[in-house]
Formats: sequence, C-alpha cells, structure tokens
Amino acid sequence: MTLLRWSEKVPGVVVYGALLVGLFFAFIYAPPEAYMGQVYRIMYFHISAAWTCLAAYTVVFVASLAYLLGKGDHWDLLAHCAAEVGLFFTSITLISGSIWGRAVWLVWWTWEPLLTATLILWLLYAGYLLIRSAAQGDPARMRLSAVWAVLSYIDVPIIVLSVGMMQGLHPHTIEGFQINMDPRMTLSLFINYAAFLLLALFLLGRRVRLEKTAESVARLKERFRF
Amino acid sequence: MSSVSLRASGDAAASRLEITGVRVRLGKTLALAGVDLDVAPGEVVALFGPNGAGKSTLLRVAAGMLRPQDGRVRWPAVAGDPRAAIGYVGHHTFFSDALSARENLTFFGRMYGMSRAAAAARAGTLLREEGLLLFAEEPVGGFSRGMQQRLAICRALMHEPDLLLLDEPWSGLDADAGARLSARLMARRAAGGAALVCSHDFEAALAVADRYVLLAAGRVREVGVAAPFRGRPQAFAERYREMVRPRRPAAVTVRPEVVTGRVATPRPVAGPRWGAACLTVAGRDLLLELRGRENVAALGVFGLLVATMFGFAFDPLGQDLRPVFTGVLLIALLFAGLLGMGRSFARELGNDALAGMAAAPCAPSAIFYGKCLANAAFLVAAEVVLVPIFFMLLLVHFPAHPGAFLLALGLGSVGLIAVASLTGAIAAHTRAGEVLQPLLALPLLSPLLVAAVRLAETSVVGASTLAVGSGTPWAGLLIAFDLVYLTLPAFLFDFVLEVSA
Repeated sequence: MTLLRWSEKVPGVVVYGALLVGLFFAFIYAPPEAYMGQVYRIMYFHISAAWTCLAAYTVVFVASLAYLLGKGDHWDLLAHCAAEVGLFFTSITLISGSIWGRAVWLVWWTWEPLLTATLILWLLYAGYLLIRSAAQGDPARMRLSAVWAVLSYIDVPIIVLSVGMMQGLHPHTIEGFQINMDPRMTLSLFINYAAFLLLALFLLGRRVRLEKTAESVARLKERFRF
Repeated sequence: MSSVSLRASGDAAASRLEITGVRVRLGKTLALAGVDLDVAPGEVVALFGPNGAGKSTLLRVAAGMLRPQDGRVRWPAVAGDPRAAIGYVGHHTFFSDALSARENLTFFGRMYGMSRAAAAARAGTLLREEGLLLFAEEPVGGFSRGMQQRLAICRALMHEPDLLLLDEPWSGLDADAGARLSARLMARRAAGGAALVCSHDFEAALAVADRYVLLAAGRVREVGVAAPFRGRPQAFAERYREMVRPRRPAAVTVRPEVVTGRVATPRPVAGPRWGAACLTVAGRDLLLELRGRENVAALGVFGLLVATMFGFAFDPLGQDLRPVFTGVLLIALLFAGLLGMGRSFARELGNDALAGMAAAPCAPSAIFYGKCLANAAFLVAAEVVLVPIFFMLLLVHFPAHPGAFLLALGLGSVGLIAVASLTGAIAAHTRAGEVLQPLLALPLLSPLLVAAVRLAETSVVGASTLAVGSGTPWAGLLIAFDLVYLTLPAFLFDFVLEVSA
C-alpha cells in the first residue's frame, strides 16, 4: 500500500538529493586541511548544524511572539515544531563538536566558550520542551512555552557575549562576515548548510503536518461531545 | 454562532455587561462557541448548564480575567478599569491560608484601590454581617469549606462592585448563609446592582434571578424569564434536560424581555496606583514570610549547608581557597535563592490566590515587581548572614577593597531575583514545578553567574593576580543582564498571569 502520493514524496527526494550532494562536496570536492588532515571534514556538518539550529530558534522566537500577540494558535504549533527541529540540530552540533574535539584537542569535552554556549542553548530549548510536557492544560502549555521561547532567545546574545569574553580554542575560520578558508572549502560549507536547511524545513513541514492531523482528530472528537 | 438579542441597544450605557459573539478556545477545546449575553443594571441573570458547558469560562471572560479569541466584552456602565467595578467568586477562594480572614480581606480591598483604613473598616463590617467576626483573626486555612465560601463572598463585596459574577455561590453554604446570600442579591438588585450567577441549584438561583440563560457545549441554548419557574424547580429541571440534550447547533429560543433600570452615564472607577499595588503585594508576601518563615529559612539553611560541605571537602587549612571562593559562594547563593524564591509563586496556587490578584484592577507588572521586592528582602536577609559565614568557614579574608565584590553581589542578586521570580511563576503552573524551576533558571542565569564570579574575584583574589580594570567588562555585562531581565517581565508577566486566571 502506498502511504504517500508521488507529489508528497518530492520534497523528501529533493532533501535526500541535497544531502548526497553535500556529502560529495564535503568528502570528495573539498581538499584536506593543512594541519588537521581529513578529520576537519566534520566541520561541514558541525557548522551547518549549528547555523541551522540558530535559524530554527529564530523561527521559534518569531512564532512565539506572534502567538503571544494573538495571531493564532497555529503560531504556537509552528514554534513547538521548530523547537524540536532546533534541538535535534543542536544535538548534532554538540555530538559532532565532541568528536572533533577528541580528534583535535584529545578530549571529548572542554569548557571552550562556543561549546559551552551551545550546551546552554541546548539546555534552554530542552527547558522549552519540558515546559510543554509539564504544563497543566493546553492554554498553560502554549502561553508558558511562548514566554519561555522569548526569554531564551533574548538570552542567546548575552550568553555569546559572556563566553566571547573568555579565551577560546575554536579555530577562527569565520570572523564577522569574513571567512578565512580555501574557496573550495567555503563553497562546500555553504552547500552543506543549504542541504541542512532543506532537511530542517522538510522535518519541520512533516512535524507540523503530524500535529495538524492530531488536532483534526481532537476536533472530530469534540464534534461528537454533544 | 448563536445569537441572542433581548433588548434594544440604543443606550450605550444600558448594560453592566455586554458579551457579543465571544469564542474561547482553551487549547484544543472550544469552550465558548460564539456567546452573546447582556446583564442590565438592577438585573440578576442565572446561568445554567451541564458540566463542561463553558459557564465558568464565560464568567472568567466577563470578569476580564480571560481574553476571548473572538468577539467582544464590554462593561458600558463603567469608565476606567472595569475590574474595579466587578466582584468575582470563582471555584477557589483566592485566599492565603496562613493569613487571617481580616488580613485576606484587607489585602484584596487594597488591591481594589481602597485605603488601608477603609479596607480594614469594610472588612470588619462584612465579617460582622456574615457572622465571621469571631474568627476574624484566625488563619483562613483552618476554616471549613462553608466558612471559606462565606469569606469569598465577603471578598467579592469588599469594594462594593456594580456587577457580581458568582460561580456556584451557594456551594458549601448552610441554609442560613444561603438565605443571606439570596437576600444580599435581592437587596443589591433593588439598589441597581447587577449579577450573573452560575449555579446547579435551580431553586436558589431562580428565586433571585430575573432571567435565566441555558448554556451547553459552549453555546447559548435558551434565554428566558425566571419568574414562571420560581418555586417550581422540578418544572424547570424538565425544561433544562430538554434544552441541554445533545443536538446540532440551532437557533436560540428567546423568551420575553424583562425591563430593568438603566444608568445614564458610565460611572468612573479606578484601581490602585501602580506603586501602591506593588507595595501591597510585597507587604503581603513579607507578612506571609513572618507567619511561615519558609523562604529565608530555606535560603539560610541551604547556604549554610553548602559552606559546611565545601569546608569539609576542601580542607581550608591545607590550601588557599581564594581562587574558587567566589565561585563557591555565588553558586551557593544562586541555588539557595532559587530554592527560596521558587516558592514565591508556587504557594499562591493553593487557593488560586494568583487568579484573585489577576481579577483585581491593577497592572500585572505591579504584582510581579511586588513579588520581586519581597524576594529581594528575603535574599538580602540571607546574604547578610551567609556571606560572613562563608568567609569564616572557608578561611578566606574579607577583601580590603571590597568594591568589586559588593558590586558583583548586588548586581548578581538583582538579576537572580528577576529570573528566579519569573521562572518561579512559569514553573508554578507546571507539574513538578519545584524540580523544573532550577532546570529553567540555571541555563538562563549562566551569563550572570560567569560575570558575577569574574567581577567578584577581582576583589577576593586581588589586583596582584588579575589585571587592573579586568572586572569592568563583567560589570557592564551584569548591568546589561539586569536591565534585560528586569524589563522583560513588564511585558511577559501578563501572559503568565493569564494562565492563572
């Protein structure tokens, strides 16, 4: 039995295609790094995942703000789904960063500023999901998590500022809008970032659809209440 | 959407309450599906319906505690914050169990803009009328259900409201108290006061009502005159069963109108000034602390415990603890602060006291900053005791130039109070809130902790070890953090408070 129509399969096929292209650029097209050799290639997934999670958290912030301003419950749904996607990509950032750290700094974890900031980010948005699961009733869940999303997002620049004032070990490949890398590496990085963004959008779309289906079921139940 | 039009709406100031097309969705449940209703001066409207019909939600909307997603709620007879002209009795009493009957009533009088003397006098009058004067100085926690309900009615009457919104007011009352409530409603009706009374007691409600409204599945099913059913609850029960039976949404049955008195111009009403409300909330929290000694005791004992444990673990005689001292001290204060201040909002949920504050005509931010003021008093009291104890137990000399240390302590405390109060308010509305609060607050406070430790150690470790002026950026970061988290709740606390309502 076919669960999805062909038109519904297209986005998935495009995303998997983009990820395959990203893999090609990360492992074949991009040259090895002068000091780190092949192990640096994890950067393409690590940085892409980090940028993607920040994009997802921006969606959470904007959607939560829209919900609080009374633009409708669908904004809460979007914020919730984007937070889950963001947390998934933050986890990828932390795991890939840890693997990279083991290879380059010989430790699985170090209290390096950017690593610490990413871990705090993970904890903040894990808190968002905890509020959603622990709040009593739908109105509390929606309002409290939206308030928390706004608080968390505003905390991000303060965290970055505070850890930025400490000494860091992270390679300074990107400073402001300047990228200190071989152009082939830069191209590979942006292609992988695009692929990760597509994956995030795909996951977000699927998650929203799942939630809407659950809502439709709840409405059907409600129709037969009286 | 059901539609009810019982009287001409030519006179804008005719009604005490006008509800038009109100829809309220509570999460995935449609609690009100387009309700129209109005209550005129000198009119009592009885609201009936099965469990889950939306009656309590409608009363909360009418009380201005809950914003509808669609439709309009107006209180044309009042100019100013309409909550100042509304007396509300909900499912919960809104009282603090540790405070006496008189203290609770006086607090709510103050929250409605009354002076301390006027509130105390009015509380005395109501307690006497309700036969509770003997128990005026007793903590409300020891009252029976019926006594608490009588006191809740007194609370709703404290500021002599024009409109009473009563949710199951006869529930728990004995025959005398029930009759007294009915007599009060009739006397107020004769004086031009209005009431919307939700009840399952047909006989009591129909005896005082001019009209009745039947609500089912969030829709008005019937509006009618109460007089024909007065003294005939069985006849009304049959009609009720017929009307609330599950069915497709249909046109509402409207019965003849009751002509009631009208007011010509809106009555100006005012709640308390922002600062007065803030101080009233802080004063009440300090009074609660004096009775229960929960917060300062938790703060102090926890901090002392941390100092003792670190003393044991590190052997201060054998090594210089100065490099880790500020970290240990500030982390201990942070955890102690979260432990103590986390209870600030959690203890309000027992009788839904926070919802009672939300029903009062004052800015939500005044409630939040009032709580912060009280929390600041608790934290400063704990710090005055704990900081010297930490220096003594961990054998670290108090810095000769303590400016940076005290600045870090002060600025760090401000940020801690703001974040702990706000996360306490959020966590209070969740299951296992006391566990959740530190999980929320600690990541948020991480920049504050880093900055406060770095700034404080410029004093404690000494300028010989650290570069001169190395604390300045950290002080800047602390000030920025404090400004952000003191300002944000002014906009966000409203949404948190609405969850309580």
